[in-house]
Amino acid sequence: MAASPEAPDLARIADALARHRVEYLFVGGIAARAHGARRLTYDVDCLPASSPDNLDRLATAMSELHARLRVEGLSDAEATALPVQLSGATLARMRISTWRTDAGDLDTSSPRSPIAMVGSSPTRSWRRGRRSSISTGSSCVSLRSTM
Amino acid sequence: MSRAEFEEGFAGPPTPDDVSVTTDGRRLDSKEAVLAWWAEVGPDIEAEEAEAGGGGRQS
Repeated sequence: MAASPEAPDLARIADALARHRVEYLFVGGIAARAHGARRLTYDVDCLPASSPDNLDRLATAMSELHARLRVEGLSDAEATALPVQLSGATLARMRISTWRTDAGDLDTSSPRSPIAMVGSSPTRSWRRGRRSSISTGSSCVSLRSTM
Repeated sequence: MSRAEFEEGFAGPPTPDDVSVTTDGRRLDSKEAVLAWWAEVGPDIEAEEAEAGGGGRQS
């Protein structure tokens, strides 16, 4: 993997997503911090709405942040040189995708992935447009909608 | 769930298993894995993007 990660610039990532009208939820460590957790997190975990249009908007926002695949053992330059085209269609073919951006590491998960689908419907959370949570097995993942 | 359990479970640093996974379960954990996957799906994706008139390469 490229140089050791630094804390992500959440505001910059959120701004890019908002300007491109991406429907998404932050999950994982970032969401935990929003609820007061003190531990550091090194990436932003994003759960986007799965519509093709939304994934296209997400890909555009990520391209604006110069997203390149984050792959173990590859330098930033090598990752940038990969032929992978960042698009909604690409994201739709990935259950989990790990990226390095100019604003820090950003991971996306498919709403259809097992983790995302356990518990209540994320879609409902997007529509409500407010803080909510879903349960995942024995644990609880905090979510914050931006819509 | 206590705050300590919450923090322990969800606010840690990335693990060595922090890797992209495709919808058919392939792990993109090396350059070779990425290239093999893209060789399969890339032409379809690029065709879709060309048809839609958009898309862009990772920068």
